[in-house]
Amino acid sequence: MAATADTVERVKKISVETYKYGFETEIEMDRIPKGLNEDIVRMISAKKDEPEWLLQWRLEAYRRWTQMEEPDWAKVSFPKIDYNDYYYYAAPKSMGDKPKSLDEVDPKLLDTYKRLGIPLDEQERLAGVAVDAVFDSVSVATTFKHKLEEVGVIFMPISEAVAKHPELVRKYLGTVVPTTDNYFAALNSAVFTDGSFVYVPKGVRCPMELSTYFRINAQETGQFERTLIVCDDDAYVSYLEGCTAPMRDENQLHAAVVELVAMDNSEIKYSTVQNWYPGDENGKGGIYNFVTKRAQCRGVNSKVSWTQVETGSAVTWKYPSCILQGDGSQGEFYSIAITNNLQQADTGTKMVHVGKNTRSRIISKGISAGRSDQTYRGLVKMLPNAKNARNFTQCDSLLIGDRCGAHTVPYIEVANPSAAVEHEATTSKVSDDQLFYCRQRGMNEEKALALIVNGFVKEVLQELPMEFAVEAQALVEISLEGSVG
Amino acid sequence: MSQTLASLRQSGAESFAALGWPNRRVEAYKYSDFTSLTQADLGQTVAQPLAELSDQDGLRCYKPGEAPQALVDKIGSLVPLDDPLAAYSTANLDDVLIIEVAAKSKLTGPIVLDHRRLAGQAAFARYLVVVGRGAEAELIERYASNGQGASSPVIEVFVEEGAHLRHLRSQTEALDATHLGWTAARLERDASYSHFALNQGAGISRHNIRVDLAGAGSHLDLYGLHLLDGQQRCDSHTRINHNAPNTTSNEVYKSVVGGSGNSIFQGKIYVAKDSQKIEGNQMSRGLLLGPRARIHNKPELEIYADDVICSHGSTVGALDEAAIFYLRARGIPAAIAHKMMVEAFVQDVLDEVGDCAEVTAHWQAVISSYLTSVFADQDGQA
Repeated sequence: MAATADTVERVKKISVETYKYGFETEIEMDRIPKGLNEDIVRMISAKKDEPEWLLQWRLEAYRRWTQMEEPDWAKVSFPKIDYNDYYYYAAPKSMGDKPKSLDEVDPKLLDTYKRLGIPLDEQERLAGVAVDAVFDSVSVATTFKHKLEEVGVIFMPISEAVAKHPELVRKYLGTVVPTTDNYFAALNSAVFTDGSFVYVPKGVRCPMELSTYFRINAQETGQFERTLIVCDDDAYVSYLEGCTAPMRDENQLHAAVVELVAMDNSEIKYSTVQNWYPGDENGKGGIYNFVTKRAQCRGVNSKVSWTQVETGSAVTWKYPSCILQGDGSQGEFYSIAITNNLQQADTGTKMVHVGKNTRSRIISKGISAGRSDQTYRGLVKMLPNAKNARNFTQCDSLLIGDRCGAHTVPYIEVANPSAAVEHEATTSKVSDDQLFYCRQRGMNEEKALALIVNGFVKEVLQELPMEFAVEAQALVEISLEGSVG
Repeated sequence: MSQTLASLRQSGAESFAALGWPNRRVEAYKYSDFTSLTQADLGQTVAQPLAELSDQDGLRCYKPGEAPQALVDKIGSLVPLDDPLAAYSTANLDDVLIIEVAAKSKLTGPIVLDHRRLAGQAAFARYLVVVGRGAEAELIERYASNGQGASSPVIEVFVEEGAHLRHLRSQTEALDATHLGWTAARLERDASYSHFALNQGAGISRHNIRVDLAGAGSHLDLYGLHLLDGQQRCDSHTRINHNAPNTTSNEVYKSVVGGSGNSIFQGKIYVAKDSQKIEGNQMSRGLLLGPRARIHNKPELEIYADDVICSHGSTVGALDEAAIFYLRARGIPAAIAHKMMVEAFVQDVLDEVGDCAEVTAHWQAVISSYLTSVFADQDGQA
């Protein structure tokens, strides 16, 4: 099969270097002082030339955040974070005077993305994926903007959208994830720097995949991006998100908020390949990935589908969720989470069924190797009005090695008798029989394991857009390198 | 009261003073709040006699004062005092009955612990059951009452090497009563333990079960039924610890909820590091009979070893309309059709209860009187 050959090829290229995105770009940065207080919030807002309402919104979030406590219910442990020890804004200096086109963008930045395999040069793009590239706190380039404008799709950095489409941003920002939703969402609301804004107007099927590539580069910075996607009646959009960071000894913080709004009969497909630096084999360094992602299916028959491949980050705390409000709306969650070495991941989803005839499906595949710890935590809630609502959940965990942990913590809350909820979970190791069968056919142990694991996660890989699927497949193998024998 | 009991009471009281009644912010009590319990719910503490046992070959009962020290030391060793309800019961315990089944003996009749609490009273029964090496026994534990007040029984069970114990517990307290029960067990090498819990009574009830599979080759079966109606809230919280390799467990909980009842099931399978070759299966299924009924399930796996096969399944739904229609098309009245469907739903748990006629008859009677009352309003329909 071509895909298999391609995977083998890719893995070969990567050789022994396990985290190939660990390089750092030397570029002059514009930072604001370390620490977090109201002045910093004001400074970030000023840097972005924001309107007064947004500054007030940020300050309100900041004030609430100072009164909140960091959540401790997740099954992860890490040293206490000193929020005053981070830079909350870092941008390449060359971005200060806002380049008008790609030609004016610092070649070093373009080169960085090229090394990451994200050529921003529009000519070089194959199937046509529009990319918004976010470097630390700012968006450096958004491709295919004009082509998208022709059909009326707005795809731009959120900071730009605040200036150009304030009415839209103001109407939707914070309506899915309120500023006070949780500790990290409040923090993000106060200091968010960039991210993407997408608006697909009524009846438009977005002609190409939209993609954002997040890169943390500067030292001791946190990245706080905010993504807002609004899909109006009968519209469709597929959005991809990728992330990487340099290899560093200290932990860096990434606290993002993603809000999706789906109106009548619309569909949003949101795919993530999360490959933040996971730390070294002794657990030193790595990204803290504390993300709040939530979709609101407001319209009837609307649909949101989350697909995620989580291989990076030292600590992950992430629960992409769907509020199924509109009658007949659908939510889907497909996830592959791989943890190796000392990584910790507490991830899952929430499906809240509010409307009638709402449906949700959860497929979660977790793989723990090394000394890592992984938890699936999910909530399926059927409210009293969710007549004939349906949910199916399957979460399987695979254990590789006897020093890792795999946990499943589903919450099932049903308050409507016509709703049907099915949940099943299994935990086991790679079967010796399967390994033996592969070895017998001349595969080495690592390759055999990769094959079996790829089979284990196939159901989810199939849900990824083509461009991502191949990358994700290679990533699955790389993440598990060194976990055998 | 002996020194041991006094100091146990003391530590229970201290722990309870620190913890207080659990509220929803405590994860283990996420779905049931106990802070609103009133003095009337809890009842007046009156010294209650513990169940009296008739003599049998191989069976010995002791008071803590006269029991061998090795047995006395076991009191309180399985029930964790960091649980507020265990602390509450321990703080109020009055007496302990130690029941020992001699090694290698096979009891001819069941050990019956019958409790009938009177309205307005608070009861704190406390037992220690030790089933000696290679012995076989059946234990029947029953709680009934005729009104308000609370029973907070704690039972600790030791199943020694190669021993087998079947433990059948039924809770059919008055509908305005409160029931806060604790069952803790420890299984040694090659021991097996089957626990059956029938929860039909009490307005507010909580049953904590914690089983440690401490010896290799031990096996646990855990079966439970919730039969709820009216305003009842019933919360079963089970924890199975696979602390030794080659241990297996099988758990099935079924809930039938009518009226505005609220059934809560939280069950965890825990596999410790280096506990290899484990098989643990859990199933929790719920049936909602009315528009105001609620079910909260939280099955949980926590696994730190790799050579394991663990699974849990959980479903919640209503009776299948098509099946009801099928029955009615054959001339079966609605109420009977519904009853038949629910009976079929709980049958696989009942099947496991076994051949002890007295117990099956009791369980069947409870189920059938429950079904009659829960479908009472349908009886008029043809």
